[in-house]
Amino acid sequence: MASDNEDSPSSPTGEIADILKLNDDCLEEIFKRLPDLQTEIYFSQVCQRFQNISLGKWRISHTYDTMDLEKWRELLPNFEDLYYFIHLLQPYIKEMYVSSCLCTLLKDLDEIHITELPQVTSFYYDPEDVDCYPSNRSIRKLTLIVPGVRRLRLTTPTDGRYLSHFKHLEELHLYEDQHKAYELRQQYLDEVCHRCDLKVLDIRTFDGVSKLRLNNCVKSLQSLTTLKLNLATIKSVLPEIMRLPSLKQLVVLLCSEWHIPAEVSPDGYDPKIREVEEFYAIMEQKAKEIICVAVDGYYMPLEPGWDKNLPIWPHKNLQRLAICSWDHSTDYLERYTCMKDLQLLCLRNCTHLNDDVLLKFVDLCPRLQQLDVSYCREVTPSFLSRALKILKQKDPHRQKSGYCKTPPLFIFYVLSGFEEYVEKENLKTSPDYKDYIVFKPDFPVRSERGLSFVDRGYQFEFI
Amino acid sequence: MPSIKLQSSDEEIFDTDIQIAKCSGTIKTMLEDCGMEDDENAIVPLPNVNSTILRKVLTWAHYHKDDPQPVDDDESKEKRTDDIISWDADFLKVDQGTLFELILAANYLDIKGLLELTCKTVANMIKGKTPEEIRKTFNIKKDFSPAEEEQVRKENEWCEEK
Repeated sequence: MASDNEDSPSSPTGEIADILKLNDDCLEEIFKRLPDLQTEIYFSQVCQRFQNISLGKWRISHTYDTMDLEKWRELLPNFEDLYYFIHLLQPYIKEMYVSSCLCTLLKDLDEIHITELPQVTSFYYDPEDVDCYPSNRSIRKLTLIVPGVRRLRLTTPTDGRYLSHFKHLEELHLYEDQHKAYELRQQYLDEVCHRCDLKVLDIRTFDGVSKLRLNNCVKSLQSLTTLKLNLATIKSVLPEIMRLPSLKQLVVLLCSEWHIPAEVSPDGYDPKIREVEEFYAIMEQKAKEIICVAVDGYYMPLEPGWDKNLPIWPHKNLQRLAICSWDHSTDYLERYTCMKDLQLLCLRNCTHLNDDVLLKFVDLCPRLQQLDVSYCREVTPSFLSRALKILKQKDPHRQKSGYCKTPPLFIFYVLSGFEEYVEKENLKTSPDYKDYIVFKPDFPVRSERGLSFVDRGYQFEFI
Repeated sequence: MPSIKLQSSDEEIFDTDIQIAKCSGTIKTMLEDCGMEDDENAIVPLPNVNSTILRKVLTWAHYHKDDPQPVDDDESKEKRTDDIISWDADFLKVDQGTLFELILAANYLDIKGLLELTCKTVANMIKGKTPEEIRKTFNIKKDFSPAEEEQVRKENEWCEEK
């Protein structure tokens, strides 16, 4: 059990210090019980071996894979400690979340003498001060500090110059559901599409009409799996987008206003048709491959019965269906119970949604794992007991065997008709519901937050 | 009460109540896996623990025999260091050599409660001290090469000149 570290420094008197006779396991146990990061850093600064133990524990915990300079500064008010810590972890930091201004961050990194963070692959910039637009000079500097970035999210306006300097860029996320003063310059969008092998591209603009076009660069997007764009952008390039070989997800945001072309007479111009014609065209062309359809019923001008003769019906491939903010009758929904592979059903904010139609899904879609009825005020607590009864009848031994062949049904229930009941009766911890229904107070992953699964538009996913 | 014989590294035999011996995960597994539980004469060798330390460990285990099993959950555990009961504090009024040998023994014998107590005691000795004070407390020599320390300073100078 003696120390396995032959390099143990001896004490000033020439003998090996007793504490260094401990093996690494034991030193790690001591480290685990140090009360805070400050103490851990002082421990780490004692000798080489303590430093190795500390660095090992920091890395294994993954707590500091993501650099959050603001938070670290709070934990380590003493500049020298912060300096020491960042320099030690510098080769291992993988992500950065930045909520301060980019220029402040760059200045801080300069002050700490960090010139490169080679392992950073994700950079998320979402400043609290929305007016803090990063300058091109800052972006250029950033491309030198984090040259390995693959995932980049910038929510502030940028014209996009230098984005193509991120040579390894695979995901570019520029959308935020708020007004932006300007969008990318076309030239720089083309550049980034040509030079980087993008897999995910989100160039949606929340306000106004997007002026961005993909016509010049769509051919370079051969690896693209996810594309999120405005309706104005997709209009002229839909056939080419439909031919992208890797595309798995397409999200379209309706522009918040329409520019009526001068040559069109206002009488013959039907904005409703203009807004849904691509929607139906995609359905038509990709019917066989579509596994997810999501629409925001509030903004999409769809009339009752719109889905009666959809080309997807014969294929029955739907795994994810979201129809949100629909204020017509929901009886028609029953026809979707023929989709036996349905795993996610999101009917957020549907005004007239009732228990009966929901129960049919619970009964007829054996793979249903996520049911999102947030903001549906008409559903009642009795839905829960009835759903539980159906699930128990189908699989009565789930609790006894301890082995679940099917995962529980997640119900997303914020501000639904049974939210209060769930809280009051403590259903989240109820042994009766355990293994069958799990109550989730948030939204399904990969969906937008708020009233609709997809913001002001529609979404498709393909096999 | 059935007992078991534990043999320390210096070959002293400790006749020990089986329930007390079993607070050690290592001994418990040995007994169960080798089917020694019913054999009164079986000797469990503990070549990594000397008699002085084993005696102390057994004293501790005897006092804590009715404690509930500590929950091994790193995530939820609050890092409290001020919750050491006075019996334990007195028990650990020992020289540093003994304290560290107890940690090694607790780790080897897999006695969670004792490992928690001893490591927490050391963490308490570290808390609130600068690196230099920690070195002094444990008699550790600073072994960062001057070059490593210089490097940081030089980096600074270089950047300032720029």
